[in-house]
Amino acid sequence: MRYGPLCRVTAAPKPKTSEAHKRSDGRTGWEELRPVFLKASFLSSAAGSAYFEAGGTKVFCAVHGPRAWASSSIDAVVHCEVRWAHFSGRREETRTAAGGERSRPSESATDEERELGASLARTLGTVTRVEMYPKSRIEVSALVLEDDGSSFAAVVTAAALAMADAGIEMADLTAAMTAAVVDGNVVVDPNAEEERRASGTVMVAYMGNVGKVTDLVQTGEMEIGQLAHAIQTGCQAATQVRGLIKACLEKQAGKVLKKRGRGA
Amino acid sequence: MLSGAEKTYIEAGAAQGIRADGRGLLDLRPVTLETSLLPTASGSARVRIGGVTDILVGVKAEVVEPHVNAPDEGLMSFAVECSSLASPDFVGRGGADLNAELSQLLTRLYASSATRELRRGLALIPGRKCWVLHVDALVLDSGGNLYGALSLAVRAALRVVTLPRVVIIPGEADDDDEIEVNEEVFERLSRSEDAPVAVTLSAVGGRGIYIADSTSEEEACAKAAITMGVNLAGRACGAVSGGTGGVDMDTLKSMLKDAVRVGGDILKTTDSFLQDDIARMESGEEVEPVGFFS
Repeated sequence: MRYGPLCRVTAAPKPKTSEAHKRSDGRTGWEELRPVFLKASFLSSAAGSAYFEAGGTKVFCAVHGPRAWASSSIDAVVHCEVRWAHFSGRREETRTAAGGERSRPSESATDEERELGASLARTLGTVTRVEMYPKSRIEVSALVLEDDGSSFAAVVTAAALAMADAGIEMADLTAAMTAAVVDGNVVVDPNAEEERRASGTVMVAYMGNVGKVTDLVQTGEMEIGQLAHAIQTGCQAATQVRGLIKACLEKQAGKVLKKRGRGA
Repeated sequence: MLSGAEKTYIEAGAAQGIRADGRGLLDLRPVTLETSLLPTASGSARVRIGGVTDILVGVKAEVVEPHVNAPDEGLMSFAVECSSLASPDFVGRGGADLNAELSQLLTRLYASSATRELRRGLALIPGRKCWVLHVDALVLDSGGNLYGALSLAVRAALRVVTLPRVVIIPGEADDDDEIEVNEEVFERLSRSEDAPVAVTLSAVGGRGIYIADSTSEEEACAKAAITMGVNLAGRACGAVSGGTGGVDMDTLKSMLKDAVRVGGDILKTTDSFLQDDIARMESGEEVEPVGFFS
């Protein structure tokens, strides 16, 4: 696996730069994203796979299937498993349910991992053309290797790339972004430190072309106007990330075509 | 499972602003709320919505060590159990995923800074001793709007929780303080009114049409749903989406506004009921039970 930046983003248009907008990791705008690295097809055993990195947040995702599945519905079923690695640095208070003691970590999924797995399944079920794969099941597993904030958004983005890499038909590419309210300002793509300080965060998954929000997870306390604003800015940033997924897929497709051309 | 005709009936009705049971789009079904019906729990409540959805919540308390990250706050743990009485889907491990989702929603609702004062009220000796409230909810029957009913029952139970008074006995050294639980004097939780209630709005039919307090038939044909926690200050404290349809931005924004309005109405109505209920209990008046314990 060759390791190097595939595409990096510096938020365009360049946001207002001022000392007041300086963020803890050196970014200079509330709406500036962290450097992004995307890679598709790095696992040989999976139908599709993706690696997504935004700053210190690193996520692997693999798609298996579609495979035959006897279910009550005719349409394909998307099943997702989301896990945070032990060493991911996910804050302890969110991994253990408040007051609940976990005897041995990661024996089975935590409630949060189950919830977010179901949430991811719904998002992918929304974008996937499930009617194209009758009586089958598509399995998606995601692992958060390192968590430096906005990790579930990274999981959704990686999953969308992996699904596309697996050649599964989708209505649109979905990408996700987190927006947080830190000291009264809406900041996009918060890192772990900003997430800790935030009074509220909201994660949105957005289909840029269709123009629909496919998933929304909000935590903390937020005013309604602020929430609506955060969702809007999150969606704009998600559209930006969607462009990167597309670029990555095009590059990948170019490579495959070149290889085929040589073989013929 | 709904037939195509049933689905069309619900969707076409919603487009006209009428629902199968005669309600308007954002009208709620009648709610039955009963509190303090479990003598062994510190606080309990039972909520029935429309005579179908039926939730029983019991709260137990014990003294534990606080979390290292929040030494001056008490703890709350949530467990939801979908009884196999409610649906054959819940037999065995069938309800496990739903149980996790429901408990996680409650955890999300009560994790925000909106309920920090409530959690602070549970602290005893900072860093050493605090109350943990084990909130156990039982879904006895489900007929739509599970999130709403569940959050309402949990909130009502928390509002009537009474904990024994705790006296701190100063020790010789600073971290040598001990506590003594006085089992004769009971006190209500402070700031339990901060607890939020969840409102679910489900999008059915055409663009921009959504309904509150949906029945299970309506839920079955909903394309997308937003569940949002709303507190008395009219702020969002935790939200999740559901369904596999996606919502466009304009609809989403008006859904958020309406969720706050509907949530505010629910909070106002239930709070006036709960205040009467608490006043009656404190005056020692007999309360006529209405539920299955009558």
